[in-house]
Amino acid sequence: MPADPSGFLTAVLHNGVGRFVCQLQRITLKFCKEYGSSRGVREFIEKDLLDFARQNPGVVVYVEPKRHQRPKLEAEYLNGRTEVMNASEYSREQVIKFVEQLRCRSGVEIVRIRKDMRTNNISIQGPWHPFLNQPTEWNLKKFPDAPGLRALKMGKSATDIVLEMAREQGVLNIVQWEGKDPAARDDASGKGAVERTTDQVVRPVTAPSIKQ
Amino acid sequence: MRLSLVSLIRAPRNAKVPSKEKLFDRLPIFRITSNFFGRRRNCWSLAMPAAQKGLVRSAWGKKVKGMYSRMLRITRLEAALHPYGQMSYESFAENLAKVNVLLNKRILADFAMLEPRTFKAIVSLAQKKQDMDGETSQKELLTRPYPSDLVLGSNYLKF
Repeated sequence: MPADPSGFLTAVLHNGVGRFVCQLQRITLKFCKEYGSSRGVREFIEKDLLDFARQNPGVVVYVEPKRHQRPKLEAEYLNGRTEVMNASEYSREQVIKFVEQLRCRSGVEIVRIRKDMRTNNISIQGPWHPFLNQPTEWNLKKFPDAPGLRALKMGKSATDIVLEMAREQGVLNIVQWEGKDPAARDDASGKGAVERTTDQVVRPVTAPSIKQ
Repeated sequence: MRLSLVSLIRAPRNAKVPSKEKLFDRLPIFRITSNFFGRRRNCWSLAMPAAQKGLVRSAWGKKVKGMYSRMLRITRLEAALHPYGQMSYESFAENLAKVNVLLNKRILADFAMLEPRTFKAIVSLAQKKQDMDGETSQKELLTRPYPSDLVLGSNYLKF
Protein backbone atom coordinates (compact mmCIF):
# COMPACT_ATOMS: atom_id res chain seq x y z
CA MET A 1 0.00 0.00 0.00
CA PRO A 2 1.46 3.37 -0.84
CA ALA A 3 2.23 5.98 1.75
CA ASP A 4 0.12 9.05 2.31
CA PRO A 5 0.86 11.42 -0.55
CA SER A 6 2.89 14.36 0.62
CA GLY A 7 4.78 17.07 -1.11
CA PHE A 8 6.66 20.30 -0.83
CA LEU A 9 5.61 23.85 -1.54
CA THR A 10 5.38 24.43 -5.27
CA ALA A 11 4.40 27.16 -7.62
CA VAL A 12 3.60 26.03 -11.13
CA LEU A 13 6.49 27.23 -13.30
CA HIS A 14 7.36 29.98 -10.78
CA ASN A 15 3.97 31.58 -11.39
CA GLY A 16 3.99 35.06 -9.89
CA VAL A 17 7.70 35.72 -10.36
CA GLY A 18 7.55 38.27 -13.17
CA ARG A 19 4.23 37.30 -14.66
CA PHE A 20 1.09 35.67 -13.31
CA VAL A 21 -1.04 33.31 -15.39
CA CYS A 22 -4.42 32.18 -14.10
CA GLN A 23 -4.10 28.43 -13.76
CA LEU A 24 -7.78 27.67 -14.23
CA GLN A 25 -8.40 26.55 -17.78
CA ARG A 26 -12.11 25.76 -17.83
CA ILE A 27 -14.93 25.50 -15.35
CA THR A 28 -18.05 23.41 -15.93
CA LEU A 29 -21.24 24.00 -13.96
CA LYS A 30 -23.39 20.89 -13.96
CA PHE A 31 -26.86 21.31 -12.58
CA CYS A 32 -30.44 20.16 -12.83
CA LYS A 33 -33.08 22.53 -14.13
CA GLU A 34 -35.74 21.00 -11.93
CA TYR A 35 -34.51 19.69 -8.58
CA GLY A 36 -34.06 21.87 -5.50
CA SER A 37 -30.50 20.94 -4.70
CA SER A 38 -29.37 22.89 -7.79
CA ARG A 39 -31.14 26.08 -6.76
CA GLY A 40 -28.02 27.88 -5.71
CA VAL A 41 -26.21 26.99 -8.91
CA ARG A 42 -29.16 28.08 -11.00
CA GLU A 43 -29.28 31.45 -9.23
CA PHE A 44 -25.55 31.84 -9.73
CA ILE A 45 -25.95 31.15 -13.45
CA GLU A 46 -28.78 33.67 -13.76
CA LYS A 47 -27.11 36.49 -11.84
CA ASP A 48 -23.34 36.12 -11.44
CA LEU A 49 -22.04 33.90 -14.22
CA LEU A 50 -21.76 36.55 -16.95
CA ASP A 51 -19.82 38.86 -14.67
CA PHE A 52 -17.47 36.04 -13.83
CA ALA A 53 -16.97 35.19 -17.49
CA ARG A 54 -16.29 38.82 -18.44
CA GLN A 55 -13.83 39.32 -15.59
CA ASN A 56 -11.89 36.17 -16.49
CA PRO A 57 -11.46 36.08 -20.27
CA GLY A 58 -8.84 33.35 -19.95
CA VAL A 59 -11.24 30.87 -18.37
CA VAL A 60 -13.67 28.92 -20.54
CA VAL A 61 -17.03 28.55 -18.84
CA TYR A 62 -19.34 25.64 -19.66
CA VAL A 63 -22.87 25.20 -18.42
CA GLU A 64 -24.14 21.63 -18.54
CA PRO A 65 -27.69 20.80 -17.52
CA LYS A 66 -27.92 17.20 -16.26
CA ARG A 67 -31.40 16.11 -15.57
CA HIS A 68 -32.15 14.85 -12.05
CA GLN A 69 -28.49 14.74 -11.04
CA ARG A 70 -26.59 16.46 -8.28
CA PRO A 71 -25.01 19.79 -9.19
CA LYS A 72 -21.27 19.93 -9.55
CA LEU A 73 -18.52 22.45 -10.11
CA GLU A 74 -15.79 20.92 -12.23
CA ALA A 75 -12.56 22.83 -12.69
CA GLU A 76 -9.77 21.85 -15.07
CA TYR A 77 -6.33 23.34 -14.66
CA LEU A 78 -3.39 24.02 -16.94
CA ASN A 79 -1.37 21.16 -15.47
CA GLY A 80 -4.05 18.69 -16.55
CA ARG A 81 -5.64 18.01 -13.21
CA THR A 82 -9.37 18.20 -12.53
CA GLU A 83 -11.11 19.20 -9.33
CA VAL A 84 -14.76 18.29 -8.87
CA MET A 85 -16.87 19.83 -6.15
CA ASN A 86 -20.32 18.65 -5.19
CA ALA A 87 -22.51 21.76 -5.04
CA SER A 88 -25.82 20.25 -3.97
CA GLU A 89 -27.84 22.35 -1.47
CA TYR A 90 -25.41 25.22 -1.87
CA SER A 91 -26.74 28.75 -1.69
CA ARG A 92 -25.88 31.32 -4.33
CA GLU A 93 -23.32 32.95 -2.03
CA GLN A 94 -21.63 29.62 -1.41
CA VAL A 95 -21.38 28.95 -5.14
CA ILE A 96 -19.84 32.37 -5.68
CA LYS A 97 -17.34 31.63 -2.94
CA PHE A 98 -16.32 28.24 -4.23
CA VAL A 99 -16.12 29.30 -7.86
CA GLU A 100 -13.76 32.03 -6.71
CA GLN A 101 -11.77 29.47 -4.71
CA LEU A 102 -11.42 27.21 -7.75
CA ARG A 103 -10.32 30.15 -9.84
CA CYS A 104 -7.57 31.08 -7.41
CA ARG A 105 -6.08 27.62 -7.07
CA SER A 106 -3.23 26.20 -9.05
CA GLY A 107 -3.93 22.68 -10.20
CA VAL A 108 -1.51 21.21 -7.67
CA GLU A 109 -2.96 18.42 -5.54
CA ILE A 110 -3.74 19.29 -1.94
CA VAL A 111 -1.44 17.10 0.14
CA ARG A 112 0.33 17.31 3.45
CA ILE A 113 3.14 19.81 3.00
CA ARG A 114 6.31 18.48 4.51
CA LYS A 115 7.99 21.86 5.07
CA ASP A 116 6.24 25.17 5.33
CA MET A 117 9.10 26.98 3.62
CA ARG A 118 10.90 26.60 0.33
CA THR A 119 13.82 28.38 -1.20
CA ASN A 120 16.15 27.78 -4.10
CA ASN A 121 18.82 30.08 -2.69
CA ILE A 122 19.72 29.07 0.85
CA SER A 123 22.69 31.38 1.14
CA ILE A 124 23.25 35.01 0.25
CA GLN A 125 26.96 35.21 1.02
CA GLY A 126 27.66 31.77 -0.35
CA PRO A 127 27.98 28.67 1.80
CA TRP A 128 31.12 27.87 3.71
CA HIS A 129 33.82 25.89 1.92
CA PRO A 130 37.19 24.78 3.24
CA PHE A 131 39.22 27.37 1.32
CA LEU A 132 37.14 30.34 2.43
CA ASN A 133 39.28 31.60 5.30
CA GLN A 134 42.59 30.34 3.97
CA PRO A 135 45.26 32.58 2.42
CA THR A 136 44.55 33.42 -1.20
CA GLU A 137 48.09 32.41 -2.23
CA TRP A 138 46.76 28.89 -2.18
CA ASN A 139 45.02 29.60 -5.47
CA LEU A 140 48.39 29.46 -7.22
CA LYS A 141 49.68 26.37 -5.47
CA LYS A 142 49.62 22.83 -6.80
CA PHE A 143 48.35 20.42 -4.23
CA PRO A 144 49.54 18.15 -2.66
CA ASP A 145 53.18 18.96 -3.37
CA ALA A 146 53.15 22.55 -2.23
CA PRO A 147 56.27 23.01 -0.10
CA GLY A 148 54.72 24.92 2.75
CA LEU A 149 52.03 22.34 3.27
CA ARG A 150 53.78 19.08 4.03
CA ALA A 151 52.79 17.38 7.21
CA LEU A 152 55.18 18.28 10.00
CA LYS A 153 57.14 15.32 11.25
CA MET A 154 57.49 15.80 14.93
CA GLY A 155 59.32 12.64 15.83
CA LYS A 156 61.02 9.59 14.39
CA SER A 157 59.23 7.47 11.87
CA ALA A 158 59.02 3.71 12.30
CA THR A 159 61.62 3.26 9.57
CA ASP A 160 64.06 5.46 11.42
CA ILE A 161 63.56 3.52 14.65
CA VAL A 162 64.11 0.18 12.93
CA LEU A 163 67.25 1.39 11.15
CA GLU A 164 68.65 2.71 14.41
CA MET A 165 68.01 -0.58 16.15
CA ALA A 166 69.62 -2.47 13.28
CA ARG A 167 72.74 -0.33 13.37
CA GLU A 168 73.03 -0.64 17.16
CA GLN A 169 72.87 -4.39 16.87
CA GLY A 170 75.58 -4.32 14.26
CA VAL A 171 73.63 -5.42 11.25
CA LEU A 172 75.68 -4.76 8.17
CA ASN A 173 73.53 -5.55 5.13
CA ILE A 174 71.16 -2.69 5.33
CA VAL A 175 69.55 -1.82 2.02
CA GLN A 176 66.94 0.87 1.66
CA TRP A 177 64.59 0.01 -1.14
CA GLU A 178 62.86 2.86 -2.90
CA GLY A 179 61.15 0.82 -5.61
CA LYS A 180 57.39 0.42 -5.68
CA ASP A 181 57.20 -3.33 -6.32
CA PRO A 182 58.49 -5.33 -3.31
CA ALA A 183 58.41 -8.58 -5.29
CA ALA A 184 61.02 -7.30 -7.74
CA ARG A 185 63.48 -6.93 -4.89
CA ASP A 186 63.67 -10.68 -4.32
CA ASP A 187 63.41 -11.59 -7.99
CA ALA A 188 65.75 -14.49 -8.73
CA SER A 189 65.97 -13.75 -12.46
CA GLY A 190 67.91 -10.65 -11.69
CA LYS A 191 65.75 -8.05 -13.30
CA GLY A 192 65.40 -5.94 -10.25
CA ALA A 193 68.67 -7.11 -8.77
CA VAL A 194 70.67 -4.69 -6.84
CA GLU A 195 74.12 -5.03 -5.53
CA ARG A 196 73.92 -5.50 -1.79
CA THR A 197 76.63 -3.93 0.19
CA THR A 198 77.03 -3.01 3.79
CA ASP A 199 74.76 -0.27 4.83
CA GLN A 200 74.51 1.11 1.35
CA VAL A 201 71.57 3.23 0.42
CA VAL A 202 70.53 2.11 -3.07
CA ARG A 203 68.64 5.16 -4.15
CA PRO A 204 69.29 8.32 -2.34
CA VAL A 205 66.49 8.94 0.05
CA THR A 206 66.13 12.46 1.32
CA ALA A 207 65.72 12.02 5.02
CA PRO A 208 62.90 14.15 6.32
CA SER A 209 64.07 17.14 8.31
CA ILE A 210 62.91 16.62 11.83
CA LYS A 211 61.97 19.94 13.32
CA GLN A 212 62.63 20.21 17.00
CA MET B 1 -10.23 2.28 -3.48
CA ARG B 2 -7.78 1.94 -6.31
CA LEU B 3 -5.83 -0.71 -4.44
CA SER B 4 -8.73 -3.02 -3.70
CA LEU B 5 -9.81 -2.94 -7.34
CA VAL B 6 -6.34 -3.87 -8.46
CA SER B 7 -6.15 -6.70 -5.94
CA LEU B 8 -9.56 -7.91 -7.01
CA ILE B 9 -8.63 -7.85 -10.67
CA ARG B 10 -5.23 -9.47 -10.31
CA ALA B 11 -6.18 -12.15 -7.80
CA PRO B 12 -7.17 -15.62 -9.07
CA ARG B 13 -10.83 -16.59 -8.96
CA ASN B 14 -10.91 -18.47 -5.68
CA ALA B 15 -8.53 -16.17 -3.84
CA LYS B 16 -9.48 -14.92 -0.40
CA VAL B 17 -9.40 -11.14 -0.87
CA PRO B 18 -10.54 -8.83 1.91
CA SER B 19 -13.64 -6.78 1.28
CA LYS B 20 -13.50 -3.13 0.36
CA GLU B 21 -14.77 -2.11 3.78
CA LYS B 22 -12.07 -4.10 5.52
CA LEU B 23 -9.35 -2.65 3.29
CA PHE B 24 -10.67 0.85 3.85
CA ASP B 25 -10.54 0.43 7.62
CA ARG B 26 -7.03 -0.99 7.52
CA LEU B 27 -5.61 1.45 5.00
CA PRO B 28 -4.30 3.99 7.57
CA ILE B 29 -2.12 1.31 9.13
CA PHE B 30 -0.91 0.07 5.77
CA ARG B 31 0.01 3.63 4.89
CA ILE B 32 2.30 3.73 7.92
CA THR B 33 3.93 0.42 7.03
CA SER B 34 4.29 1.20 3.35
CA ASN B 35 8.09 1.32 3.59
CA PHE B 36 8.67 -1.46 6.13
CA PHE B 37 10.53 -4.68 5.49
CA GLY B 38 8.91 -7.87 4.21
CA ARG B 39 5.53 -9.16 5.31
CA ARG B 40 5.15 -6.42 7.90
CA ARG B 41 4.38 -4.16 4.97
CA ASN B 42 1.39 -6.03 3.58
CA CYS B 43 0.09 -8.65 6.02
CA TRP B 44 -2.42 -7.30 8.53
CA SER B 45 -1.57 -9.35 11.60
CA LEU B 46 2.10 -8.40 11.25
CA ALA B 47 1.53 -4.85 10.06
CA MET B 48 -0.67 -3.85 12.98
CA PRO B 49 1.91 -4.35 15.79
CA ALA B 50 4.70 -3.13 13.51
CA ALA B 51 2.86 0.12 12.91
CA GLN B 52 2.19 0.55 16.62
CA LYS B 53 5.84 0.03 17.43
CA GLY B 54 6.81 2.44 14.66
CA LEU B 55 4.53 5.10 16.08
CA VAL B 56 5.92 4.63 19.59
CA ARG B 57 9.46 4.98 18.27
CA SER B 58 8.50 8.03 16.27
CA ALA B 59 7.09 9.66 19.41
CA TRP B 60 10.30 8.94 21.30
CA GLY B 61 12.28 10.40 18.43
CA LYS B 62 10.27 13.61 18.44
CA LYS B 63 10.97 14.07 22.14
CA VAL B 64 14.67 13.49 21.69
CA LYS B 65 15.01 15.43 18.43
CA GLY B 66 15.42 18.73 20.27
CA MET B 67 18.28 17.34 22.32
CA TYR B 68 20.06 15.95 19.27
CA SER B 69 19.59 19.17 17.33
CA ARG B 70 21.10 21.13 20.20
CA MET B 71 24.12 18.86 20.41
CA LEU B 72 24.63 19.03 16.66
CA ARG B 73 24.49 22.80 16.62
CA ILE B 74 26.96 23.15 19.47
CA THR B 75 29.33 20.78 17.68
CA ARG B 76 28.99 22.83 14.52
CA LEU B 77 29.69 26.08 16.37
CA GLU B 78 32.73 24.57 18.07
CA ALA B 79 34.05 23.56 14.65
CA ALA B 80 33.21 26.93 13.13
CA LEU B 81 35.12 28.77 15.87
CA HIS B 82 38.23 26.72 15.26
CA PRO B 83 39.68 28.79 12.40
CA TYR B 84 39.26 31.99 14.39
CA GLY B 85 41.62 31.03 17.19
CA GLN B 86 41.40 28.97 20.33
CA MET B 87 38.18 30.55 21.47
CA SER B 88 35.96 28.01 23.17
CA TYR B 89 32.25 27.79 22.53
CA GLU B 90 31.51 28.61 26.16
CA SER B 91 33.44 31.87 26.11
CA PHE B 92 31.93 32.72 22.73
CA ALA B 93 28.38 32.33 24.06
CA GLU B 94 29.25 34.12 27.30
CA ASN B 95 30.67 37.14 25.52
CA LEU B 96 27.76 37.35 23.10
CA ALA B 97 25.37 37.40 26.04
CA LYS B 98 27.43 40.16 27.66
CA VAL B 99 27.05 42.39 24.61
CA ASN B 100 23.33 41.59 24.51
CA VAL B 101 23.38 39.60 21.29
CA LEU B 102 20.57 37.12 21.88
CA LEU B 103 20.88 35.04 18.71
CA ASN B 104 20.00 31.43 19.35
CA LYS B 105 22.14 28.43 18.47
CA ARG B 106 20.09 27.57 15.42
CA ILE B 107 20.70 30.93 13.78
CA LEU B 108 24.35 31.02 14.79
CA ALA B 109 24.95 27.55 13.36
CA ASP B 110 23.12 28.45 10.15
CA PHE B 111 25.23 31.59 9.82
CA ALA B 112 28.40 29.59 10.33
CA MET B 113 27.31 27.23 7.57
CA LEU B 114 25.68 29.54 5.06
CA GLU B 115 26.63 33.12 5.92
CA PRO B 116 30.32 32.87 6.86
CA ARG B 117 31.09 36.58 6.68
CA THR B 118 28.31 37.44 9.09
CA PHE B 119 29.60 34.75 11.40
CA LYS B 120 33.08 36.21 11.23
CA ALA B 121 31.70 39.58 12.33
CA ILE B 122 29.86 37.96 15.25
CA VAL B 123 33.00 36.09 16.34
CA SER B 124 35.09 39.26 16.18
CA LEU B 125 32.46 41.00 18.32
CA ALA B 126 32.72 38.30 20.97
CA GLN B 127 36.51 38.39 20.78
CA LYS B 128 36.56 42.16 21.19
CA LYS B 129 34.38 41.93 24.29
CA GLN B 130 36.65 39.25 25.67
CA ASP B 131 39.66 41.50 25.07
CA MET B 132 37.99 44.46 26.71
CA ASP B 133 37.20 42.41 29.81
CA GLY B 134 40.80 41.25 29.87
CA GLU B 135 39.88 37.56 29.73
CA THR B 136 41.91 36.62 26.69
CA SER B 137 45.03 34.67 27.47
CA GLN B 138 48.28 35.41 25.64
CA LYS B 139 48.21 31.95 24.13
CA GLU B 140 44.78 32.57 22.63
CA LEU B 141 45.84 35.96 21.26
CA LEU B 142 48.73 34.31 19.42
CA THR B 143 46.48 31.76 17.76
CA ARG B 144 44.12 34.35 16.31
CA PRO B 145 44.59 34.73 12.55
CA TYR B 146 42.77 38.06 12.45
CA PRO B 147 42.77 40.84 15.01
CA SER B 148 39.44 41.36 16.70
CA ASP B 149 39.14 44.88 15.23
CA LEU B 150 39.35 43.67 11.64
CA VAL B 151 35.67 43.39 10.77
CA LEU B 152 33.85 45.90 12.94
CA GLY B 153 36.57 48.47 13.57
CA SER B 154 38.22 49.56 16.78
CA ASN B 155 35.47 51.90 18.03
CA TYR B 156 32.55 49.56 17.57
CA LEU B 157 32.18 48.48 21.16
CA LYS B 158 31.89 51.37 23.55
CA PHE B 159 30.96 49.60 26.74
